[in-house]
Amino acid sequence: MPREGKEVGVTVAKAQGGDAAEPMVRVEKVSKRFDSVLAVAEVDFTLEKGAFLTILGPSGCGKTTLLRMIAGFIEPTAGEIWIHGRPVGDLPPYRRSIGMVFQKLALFPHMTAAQNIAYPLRMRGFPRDEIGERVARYLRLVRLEGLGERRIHELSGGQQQRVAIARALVFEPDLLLLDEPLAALDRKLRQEMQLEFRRIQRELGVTTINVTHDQREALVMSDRIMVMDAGRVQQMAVPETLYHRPENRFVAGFLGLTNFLPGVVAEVGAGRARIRIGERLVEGRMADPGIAAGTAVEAAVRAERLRIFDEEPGAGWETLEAEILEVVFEGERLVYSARAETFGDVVLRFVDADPLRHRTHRPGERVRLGWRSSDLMIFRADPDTTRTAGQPEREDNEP
Amino acid sequence: MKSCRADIGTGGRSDRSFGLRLLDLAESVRAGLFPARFSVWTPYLYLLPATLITGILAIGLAEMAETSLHVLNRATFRPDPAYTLANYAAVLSKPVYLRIMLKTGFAALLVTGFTLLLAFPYAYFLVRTPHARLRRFLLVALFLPFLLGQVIRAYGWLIVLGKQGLLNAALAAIGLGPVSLIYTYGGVVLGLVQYMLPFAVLLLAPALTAIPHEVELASHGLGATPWRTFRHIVLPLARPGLVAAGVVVFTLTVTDFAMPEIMGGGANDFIANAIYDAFFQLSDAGMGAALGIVLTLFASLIVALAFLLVGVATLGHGAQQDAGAGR
Repeated sequence: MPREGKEVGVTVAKAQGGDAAEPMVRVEKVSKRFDSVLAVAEVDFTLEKGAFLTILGPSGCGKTTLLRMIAGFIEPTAGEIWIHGRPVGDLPPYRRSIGMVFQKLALFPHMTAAQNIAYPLRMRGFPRDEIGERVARYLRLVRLEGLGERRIHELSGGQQQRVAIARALVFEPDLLLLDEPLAALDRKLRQEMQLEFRRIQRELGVTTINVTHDQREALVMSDRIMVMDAGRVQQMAVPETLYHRPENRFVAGFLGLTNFLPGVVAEVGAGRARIRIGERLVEGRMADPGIAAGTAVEAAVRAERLRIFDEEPGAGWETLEAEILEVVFEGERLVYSARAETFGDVVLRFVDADPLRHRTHRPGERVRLGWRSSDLMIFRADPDTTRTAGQPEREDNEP
Repeated sequence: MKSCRADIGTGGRSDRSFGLRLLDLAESVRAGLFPARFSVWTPYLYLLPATLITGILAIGLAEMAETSLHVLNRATFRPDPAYTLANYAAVLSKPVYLRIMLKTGFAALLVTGFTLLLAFPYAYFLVRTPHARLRRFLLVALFLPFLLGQVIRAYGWLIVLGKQGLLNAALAAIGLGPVSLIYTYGGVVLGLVQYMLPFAVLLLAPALTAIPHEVELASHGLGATPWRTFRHIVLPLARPGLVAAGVVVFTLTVTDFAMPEIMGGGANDFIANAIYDAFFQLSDAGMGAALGIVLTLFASLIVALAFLLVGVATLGHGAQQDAGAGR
């Protein structure tokens, strides 16, 4: 079976060898069904050589299943995966050119750091001299010079991460797969290792797919982010686009601190609409295309886009009166909650990113809140995606 | 606490003081057994029962050593009071005893090898299968013969492998002559392998459980075929379990009595059978004791050697050298 697959792969690779535009990874309509559960549903994407893609989503969204199908540990129910122009459906993991870093690292405890890094080279029959040379080079790359003879349990958590990434890269695979290897680290070390992984990835230019549920990690590390929920791709874009122009309510809620305001469309213009929220009529940008007047929608506005105004701002701004409910001190910023009566008593959260320059408002105070009408994003109110699970952390403050 | 005691002793004055004293006694016993704070020596106290039981065994062993130093006086059929090493000289020089010892040791090696070979895949499958029902079936199948006891199982083998047994009946049906499997060396080994299998699987299973599945996946991902993953990752990491299972199977085999007695038919005796014969057929307690001491020394030596070779530390966690990983 594998032999057959390899032969097919070779001919296809030759046939497409001249095509420089061939992406490093191509995933075509890949699905995975576990008994009655559709874990991954018709996922389609391509990834160009050297790019860093993060698959972002809540736990159980199918992101790890998708990664393991690319690695070859799980067989897709339908669809085809191509790596470097070769269909890999019939190739076992050890015949695919992939380096993988596991969530629990899966280092070999009975070997030293250097022996761990040498392992893939030995398995691939590299000559002895080259093994020694490469192990030394990769120990240097991950900044572990002099620690090669240490056993795994003699290394710190961060050092073990470095061994794992060196081991995954030392044989220069086509593709590096990261299965949430940073999830178990404490916050500070995690942020340090995010930058470190990014540095190594850029230095080698290796095509990388990372899986995480941490939106910060996705934004910090990636060239492109693919948001998944319930086995489906919700949006795939560069981090800035994903953050500023989410295509649906789920993506808008999953990234950042977002206020959702239930409303009904009153008037539709070109790319814009006026919607009724509570007793107010406000203008916003249509993020979901093709919404007709009378449709139930949810308007979303990021917490950092709401500001307090002492005087009425000029054109292009919408304002409303609200009563401060709570102030949370987060060190470098303050997070306020306020109730807006004219919006049907909806609670809005907003951020003061520069508290030293502003007066701190106390609970019970009335303030004038303003935002640009282009910052109000209008989404179709989908009963499936209006669940709170879409918005991790910080959700618990909401009454 | 005080008021509680007073409430209990509700009779006369002497009754009350007696009740109080009883409770004080109970309290001091409780405090002795379950002290609120451990003194440095208290943990050693808990070792005492086990040490006592093992100590009694040691006394027996000393008694046996003493017995082994007296030859049987053939005239009186009582042990000669004079101390001598004649029994040991006989054990080490008589070809019959040497042959028995060699046969026992070789059988133990064969049984250990075959048992580990069969137990490893069984334990691996038991640990790795994702189907809970299959795992339960494998465990029950393992324990069922385990519960029967060695003698009953040995007789079971006689029924299956005997002259008129099931196997020979089946062979006769397809026109093949009867084969004699019982009362042979091979038969004893076969019976022992079957008897030892559950022990080995139960000792291997925890060691294999301790190997994370991700480690094997990582090995595949890094370019190792299933066979090389087994050789370079699973086998070295399973070594503590293999050593434990090997030592237990070897010592149980080398000291076994029932299987060679029943399946061997008198022609394939192990050391234990020779000891039995010396004590109860020849009434030569001195010779029996000498054989017993030799067997004990031999088994201890093997265990010590096994631990020396792979390190006692392997029983703790697998921090040992990996022979296959040298660069």
